[in-house]
Amino acid sequence: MRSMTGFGCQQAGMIKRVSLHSIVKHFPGGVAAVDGVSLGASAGEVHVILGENGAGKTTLMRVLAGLNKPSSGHVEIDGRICRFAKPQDAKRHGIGMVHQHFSLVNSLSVAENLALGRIDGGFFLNPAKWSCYLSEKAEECGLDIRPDTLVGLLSLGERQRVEIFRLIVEGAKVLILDEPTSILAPQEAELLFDHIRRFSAAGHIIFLVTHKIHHVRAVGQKLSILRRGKLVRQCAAADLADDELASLMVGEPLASFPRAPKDRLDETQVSPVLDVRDLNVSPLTSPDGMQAVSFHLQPGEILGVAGISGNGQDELVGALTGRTAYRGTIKVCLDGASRRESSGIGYIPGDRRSVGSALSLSVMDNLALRRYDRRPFSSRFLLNIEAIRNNAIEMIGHYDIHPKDPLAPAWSLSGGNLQKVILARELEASPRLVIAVNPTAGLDVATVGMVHRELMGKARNGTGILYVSEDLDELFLVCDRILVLRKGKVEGVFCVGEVEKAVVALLMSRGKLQSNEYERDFALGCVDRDSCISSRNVARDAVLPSGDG
Amino acid sequence: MSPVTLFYRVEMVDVDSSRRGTWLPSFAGPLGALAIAAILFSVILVIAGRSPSATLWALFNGAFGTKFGIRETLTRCTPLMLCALAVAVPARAGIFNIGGEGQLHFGAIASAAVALHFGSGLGSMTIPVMVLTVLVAGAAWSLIPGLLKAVLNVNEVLVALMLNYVAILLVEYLVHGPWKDPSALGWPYSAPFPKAAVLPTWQGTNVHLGLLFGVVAAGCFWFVMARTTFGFSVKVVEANPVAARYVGMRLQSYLLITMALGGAMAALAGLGEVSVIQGRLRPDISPGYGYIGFLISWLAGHRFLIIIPAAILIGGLYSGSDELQLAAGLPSATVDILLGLVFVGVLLSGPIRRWLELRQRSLEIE
Repeated sequence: MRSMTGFGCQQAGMIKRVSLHSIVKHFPGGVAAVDGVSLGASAGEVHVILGENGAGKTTLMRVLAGLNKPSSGHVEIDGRICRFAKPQDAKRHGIGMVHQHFSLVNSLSVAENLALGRIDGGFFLNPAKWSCYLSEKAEECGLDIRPDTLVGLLSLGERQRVEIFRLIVEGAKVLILDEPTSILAPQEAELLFDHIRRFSAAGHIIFLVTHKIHHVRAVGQKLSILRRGKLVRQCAAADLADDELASLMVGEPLASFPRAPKDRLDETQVSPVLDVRDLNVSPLTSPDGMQAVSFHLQPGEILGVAGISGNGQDELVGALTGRTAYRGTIKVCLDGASRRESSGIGYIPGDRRSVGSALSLSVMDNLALRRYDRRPFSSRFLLNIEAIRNNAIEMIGHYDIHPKDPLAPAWSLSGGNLQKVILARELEASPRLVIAVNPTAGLDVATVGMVHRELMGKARNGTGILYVSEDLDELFLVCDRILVLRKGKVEGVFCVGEVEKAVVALLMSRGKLQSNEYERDFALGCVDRDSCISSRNVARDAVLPSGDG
Repeated sequence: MSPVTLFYRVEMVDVDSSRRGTWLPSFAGPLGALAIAAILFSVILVIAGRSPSATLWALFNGAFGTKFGIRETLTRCTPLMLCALAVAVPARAGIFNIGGEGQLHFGAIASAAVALHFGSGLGSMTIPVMVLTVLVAGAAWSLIPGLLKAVLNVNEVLVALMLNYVAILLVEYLVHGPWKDPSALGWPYSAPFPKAAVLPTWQGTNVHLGLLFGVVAAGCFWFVMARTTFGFSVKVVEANPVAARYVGMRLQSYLLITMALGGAMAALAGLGEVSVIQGRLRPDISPGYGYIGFLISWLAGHRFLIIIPAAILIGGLYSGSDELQLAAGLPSATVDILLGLVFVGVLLSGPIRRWLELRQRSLEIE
């Protein structure tokens, strides 16, 4: 069916019901990311898919959006079985997904970006008519969108709105939003929830993927909780209390985590392992680059770098790892022994596939990458393959890397196992300083626990760790101090335990506020809910040891 | 050595083959490529009304069936093996060296310079001096694209390819001009090399010391790549330059070293051709050995120990082409068709292999 507007947008009737039937999805490596999940949603429903990182939420939704082919199971729309060979097929059936990472071209205008996405538009396009049509359409949907603005000038929240609008324009009846609030400031999130309510009132089906319980309260009507690829509960959102939700997500009743009291190092006696003064870096991925950043890191300390991505993290890490030019001073103080070994600094990059490892080489070679030119891995020029192999076998055992074969090529490993390889390699070189960038991104709960445990163990032995992450829960769990980056500047450095999570969240998104302004937001409830609820919702607590090992 | 360690050693050799992340054995690629070539060649022969089996047999017999054939095969395979090594060494660091032909010609010029300048003056030292000069000259010639790549990130393929013409024309200039032998009756030849500047040959045949150089070099390169820290670095640089840089490897130095080693190998091929086969510097010393070496290196998957048999096989095609003419009545240029088909086979075997791997990995659409 074609619309009257002539822009080839499908205006077919609304979808009454969409459902997934016993979806199983295996990834290479054998683990089932999704294991026999069935769920469905009817017109006008906001269905929240709740689960920890690595629970299989995104994979399940990618199956619905035609991005992953299920190993078994199928999708039904209005009772008809649909098979999607490619995402376009799902789009044709009115299913669209907004990803955590946007797919907009920054140098094009909103209207041009939306023209790119048309799946059954004609060959010709009248730009003026098109943007006029978009304006009307946006107004109709109640979205504040100016079609002629360059996407590059929009804020992240506005870009997300454009992504959603694109799906509407393309005729999507089922909207899948994958962790939509992870990049949003609290007010922007409220606005998003308003839009979600409006779309559901108009008869759209909305799947909201999240690990934040308060989203369930904000917009959710139905609720599916996933844990380790399995559906553990499906019910109406109002049926369960917050702590019941949390324990269903995590799988066991939450025990409070006895955090070992850190012996505060006397800062006057120990010289910092990393001392950064007046660091200026020209922009790489953040529009503001990095401006006059100063901080220091003590041995045995875990310093968290909090910030919404694209606020200077890449620039900071680039400068620290020697990949980018900078002005200012970076002083890395290693003691004599570790200066001789160039392994004084360990680096766990955010991109474990293209930066952290050599995928075509074996696990054994990847584990030797850092120290291959030193004893015991080699003497003079000759490699000691026996030693490299024994080291690999030992690391595979200690870090529980699968597959167990040291000769397995690195590409055959899952993300979690690859991260374990990188972790093993970087930490076993006994570094004095470790720079870890989102080291737990996309990992399952057990692996997240292992990463935290290993890093905290290193810190106890006197290694300074710079922990860059977007996840505040994680930072508050692992770090001793937290540095907040925003627009390439330090908004503040806080000791964990002396600051509210909400304050840090606010600084990340909006910078310093007048105190009365903050209180108002607090009273309005923009700030606190996230922190109070999700601080109870930390699966890693259960996994971590009591801190004396 | 206990049987267990022996087995373990054998297994280690295979690590090298799993470099490309495949479950197929290392020789599957080359054999597959040859099989594809043989099938396509048979189709052409059938269309031309010849018997494929008889023709292929004549070819094989010509190359390996007689003493003369084997000698000719070994002579032909020497420059091919060296030129293949010239491609394989940089390829292991992820660099294309298409400049083998130019490096070969420049090596020929360098050996002629030593031979003509010193004559027999150096006595028994002539050969060592000549070999060293040629190695340095070949390395220097290959470092032109190498340095441009390392410093300015200029495409090494284009530069090396263009330099091939420069080196060939340089030979032409020298034999038409300054180095022209007045007693050559107007032919564009240099003066013949003195006896002392001719590489030792084996029992009066044209099989010369270059073959030994090639085999020993292949063995050395294999050892260096499989067992030394240098080889490990090269492997990582090829597999992931970004990761290599983060663990502190200097990419540029590996680029330059492997390129220089490659250039030196191709130059040795030039030395053998002018010193033994031609006995003087002249144009047309190489029927494209540099390019066929490229083919052989790809056929062997840049694996040094497989380059040896691959070079012997391709050298055999050349020496067998005479037999093809005599016995099967086919023009000797038929071999060029077959060589072309081998290249097609190499190109096809890559995608086929990847397809097989992909099926195994059941990759996700992203």
